[in-house]
Amino acid sequence: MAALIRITQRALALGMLTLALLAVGGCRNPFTPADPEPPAAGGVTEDFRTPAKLLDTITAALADKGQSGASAYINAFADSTQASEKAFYAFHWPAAIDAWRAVSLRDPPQPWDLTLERAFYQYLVGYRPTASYTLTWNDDPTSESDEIDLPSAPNLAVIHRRYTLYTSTSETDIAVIAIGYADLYLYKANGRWFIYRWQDRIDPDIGVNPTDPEQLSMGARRLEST
Amino acid sequence: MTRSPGRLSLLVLPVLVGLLSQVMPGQAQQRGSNRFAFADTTLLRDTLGLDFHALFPTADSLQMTPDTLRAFMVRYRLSIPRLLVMADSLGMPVDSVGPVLLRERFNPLATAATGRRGASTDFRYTSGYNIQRSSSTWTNGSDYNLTVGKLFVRNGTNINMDRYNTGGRVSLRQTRQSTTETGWKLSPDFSLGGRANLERFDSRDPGSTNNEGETKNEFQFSSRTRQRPAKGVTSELNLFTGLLDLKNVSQIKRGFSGDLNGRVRATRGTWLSNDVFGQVAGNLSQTRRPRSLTELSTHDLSTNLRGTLALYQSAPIGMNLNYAVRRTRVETPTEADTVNRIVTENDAVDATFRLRRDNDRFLNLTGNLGRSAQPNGTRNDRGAKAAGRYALRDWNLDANYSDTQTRSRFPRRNRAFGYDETVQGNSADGLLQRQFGPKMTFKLTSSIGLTQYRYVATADSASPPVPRDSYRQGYGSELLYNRSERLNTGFKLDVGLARTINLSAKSTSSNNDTRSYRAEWRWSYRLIRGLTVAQTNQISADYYFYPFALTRNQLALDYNTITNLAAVITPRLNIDLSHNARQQPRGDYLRSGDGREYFRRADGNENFTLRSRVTYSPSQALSLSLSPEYLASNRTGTSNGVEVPQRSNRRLNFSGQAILNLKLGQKGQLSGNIGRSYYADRTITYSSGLPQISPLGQQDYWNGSLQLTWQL
Repeated sequence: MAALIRITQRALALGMLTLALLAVGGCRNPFTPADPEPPAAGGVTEDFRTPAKLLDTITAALADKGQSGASAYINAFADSTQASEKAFYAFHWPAAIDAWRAVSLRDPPQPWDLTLERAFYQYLVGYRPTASYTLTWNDDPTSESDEIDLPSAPNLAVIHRRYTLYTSTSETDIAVIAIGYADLYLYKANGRWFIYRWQDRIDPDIGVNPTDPEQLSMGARRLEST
Repeated sequence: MTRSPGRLSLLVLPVLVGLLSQVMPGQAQQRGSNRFAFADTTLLRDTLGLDFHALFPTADSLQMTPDTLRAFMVRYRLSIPRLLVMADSLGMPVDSVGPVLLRERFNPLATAATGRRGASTDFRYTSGYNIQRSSSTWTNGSDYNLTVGKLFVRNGTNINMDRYNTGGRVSLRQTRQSTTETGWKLSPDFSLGGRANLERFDSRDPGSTNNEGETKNEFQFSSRTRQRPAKGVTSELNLFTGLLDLKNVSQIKRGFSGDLNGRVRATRGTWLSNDVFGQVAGNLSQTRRPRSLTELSTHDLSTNLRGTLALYQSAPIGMNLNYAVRRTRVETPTEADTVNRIVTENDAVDATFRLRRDNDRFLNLTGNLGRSAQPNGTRNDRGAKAAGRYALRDWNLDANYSDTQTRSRFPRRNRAFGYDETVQGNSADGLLQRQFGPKMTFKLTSSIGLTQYRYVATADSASPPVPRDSYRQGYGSELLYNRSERLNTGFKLDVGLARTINLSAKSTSSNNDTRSYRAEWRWSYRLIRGLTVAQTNQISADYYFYPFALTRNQLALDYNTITNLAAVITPRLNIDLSHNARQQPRGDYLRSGDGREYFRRADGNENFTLRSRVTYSPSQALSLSLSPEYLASNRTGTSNGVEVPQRSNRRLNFSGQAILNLKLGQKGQLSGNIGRSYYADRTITYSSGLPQISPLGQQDYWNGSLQLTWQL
C-alpha cells in the first residue's frame, strides 16, 4: 500500500505540474469575451422594464423582421444560460397539438424551448416575406385580472392577453395570420422582465380548425414551424 | 493571444489541491466535518418516520443536492443508512435504488412464496384525490401478487383521471394502464408464462374536433432467466414476445412485438465492477391510417446498450466510466400512404479519474463526449471538468473548473433554421473557508464564466441568430458566528458583474453590463424557551450600464427586512409570525451642466407582508393549521418629471387546512390534506392623478390531496 501511495503521489504531482505548465504558459485566457462591433443606426430599441413595454418590444421586433428584431424578440424570453434564473417554455393548447399531430403524424417537439422559439421567429417573419407585420395585444376579458409583482409573488407576473398578428402588403390587403390568447408568465431579474412561460390558448370563437385557415393560434404556428 | 495570470490562477487551484494531497487509503464513512455545523437543525422533524440527521454531509459525499437526497428518501420511504446499503448491495447509484425496487416488484424471480404450503397473497389498493383551484386529479391503483408453489400471478393497475377547468370549460384526460403476468417458476432462476399489457388514453377538449384517444393491447409470451456463469458474475435475460394492437388518431398498427433485454454485472474483488444493460425491442406490423384502407408494412426497432465500469472504487485512485449507445427507428404511415421513417441516434461516454483520500481531500477529473442525431439536426458535445477539495485543519478549499463545447447542426426546414451553432462554455469557481474556533466561520467565494455562441449559415436564405457572449464574474465573503444555541448571526457581502454582449452591429445597442452589490445581515436569538426571533436584512444595488446607449443606464436599489417570530406554546400548539418590508426604488441618470451624472429616481415599489400560521396537532394522526396573511403594496412612477402614485393594492389571504395521517385498522391508511382558501383583493390605480378603485375581488375554493391505501 505504501508503494501505491508513493506512486499515486508522484503521478499526481507530475500530472498537476503538466497541467500547471499548460495553464500558465499556454493558451489564451478562456474568460475573455469578444469585442462587439459598434452599433448600426436604426434597429429595435429593447425595453423590458415593465411587462407592457416588453410586449411593445415584441411587437416592434416582429415589425422589424430583421436581425435586430430577431435579437429583440428572443431577448424578451428567459434564457437559463443567462443571468435570469428561469428557462423559457411555451405550452400549446392540447387541441392544437391534436390537430397538428393528426396532420403531421409526428409528436410535437417537447419541450418548446428558446432554441425552437428562435427558429420560430424566422419562420414567422418569413411566412409573408414581403408583407409588413403588426402584432396587437388586447386585454383578455375571459381571464382573471393580471397579477404583476404582487407582494405575495414579488418579481413575478401573470398577464392574460388576446393577440392578433396582422400582415399587410397594401392598405387593402390585410390578413390575420395568428390569433388567440396567451397566459404569459413573467419573471423580473436584473431590473427587467422576462417571459418564461407562454401558455397558449385558441380562441374558442375561431376554433382549432378555423374557417379562414390562416387564423391559427401562435401555438399552432409554432408547431407548424417544425 | 491573451494572457492573464490572475484569471489563470483559477485554473491552477485544482492543481494545487492535487499537489497538496496526501493520498491515503479510502474510507467508506467519514467523521463529521465542522463545515456542516448546525446543518441538520434546519430540518424539521418529519411525520414519515424518517430521520434526516447527517443529510448534508451524506449528500455532499454523494455529490448530489440535499433536497434531491431528501426527495428520494421521502418518495421511497427509505432512511439514509438503508438507502446507502441498498445502493452498495445493488451496485448502483442512490438515485437508481427506487426505480429498481419498483421494477423488481414485477419480477417473479426476485421473490419467493413465504406462506403456508408455499402460498402467499398480497393486495394493495391506493386511491388519491387532489383538488386545486382549476384542476382535479383522481388516481386509483392496485398491486396484486399471488404465489402458489411454482405458480405466480401478478397484476398492476393504474388509473388517472384529470379535469382541467379553463374559462368555464372542462377538459378531461384519462390514462388507464394494466399489466398482468402469470406463469410457472420452473426453477429459482427460470420462469415461463404470459403477460398482457393494456393501455388506454383519452383526451377530451371542448374546443377540439380532434379529441385524442389511444388503445394499446399487447399479449406476450414471457420468459425470465437468471444466470451465475462465473464467480462474481451475475446476469439475467428476459424475453417478451407476442401480439401488438395499437390504435390512435394517426395510425392503426397490428403485428408482432418483441422485447429482449438483459443485464450483466461482473465484479472482481473490490477493484472492478462492471454493469451492462442491453435491450432490443421492436415490432413487425401492418399499419394504416384510420381513414385509409391501404395496409403498409412497418418495422419499428429500438436498441439500447448502457453500462458503468468502476475501477478501484474504494481505493485512493479510481476511475468510473459510463457509456450509452441508443438507436431507434419508428415507422408511421403518411397521408399519401407511404411509410415515414424517423431514426434517432444517441451516444454518450464520460470518464472520471478520481484521486481521493477522503471526503475532504479529493480531485476528480472528468471528460465526456456525446453525439445525438435526430431528423431536425445533430448535436455533438464534449467537455472536461476538474473538481477538487482540500481541507487542512481549519482551512477548506473547494475549486471547480469546466470547459464544454456543443456543436449543433440545424438543417434548413420549413423556412427556418439552416445554420450550425457552436456553444463554448468555460467556468471556474472557488470557495475558501476558515474555521476560527468552534463558533466562527469565514468564507470567501469567487467565480467566473464565459459562454460564447457562434453561428454559421448553411443555407442561402438562412438568418442565423446573433453571435453573442455571456460573461459573469463574482466575489463574495461571509462571516458566521454561532455564539451559542441561543444566538447566531451572519454577515455576507457579494459583488458581481454580468455582461450581455451581442457582437454584430445590428444588435449591439442592447449590450449591457450589470454590476451588483449585495449585503446581508441575519441573526437569530432565542428570547426564552419556546420563543425564537430571527431577522434577515438585505440591501442590494444593481447598476445597469449600456455601453452603446448611455442614456439607458439605470440603478435599482432593494432594501428588504424579514422578521420571524416562532413560538412553541405547547408541544402541540405552534405559532409563527412573519413580517416582511421591502422597498425597491429605481431610476436613471441625469447629466447636469457640470458634466456629472446624478441619480434620478423614476419609480419605486413598497411591499409589506404580515403573515402568521397557527398549527395545532391534537394527535399524530391529525394536524390543523390556520394561515392568515395580509399584503400591502404601493407603486410609484414618473409623470411629467414628477414621481406620482401609480398603483396601490391590498390583499387578504386566509387559508385553513387539516393534515391527516390516519391509520385505518391494521391494513389501511388515510393521509393527505384538505383545506379551504379565501382571498380578497382590491387595487387602486391612478390615472392622471385620479384614483380608480377596482371592485373587490374575492375567491373561495377547496384544495387538498387525500390518499387511501389498503393492503391485504
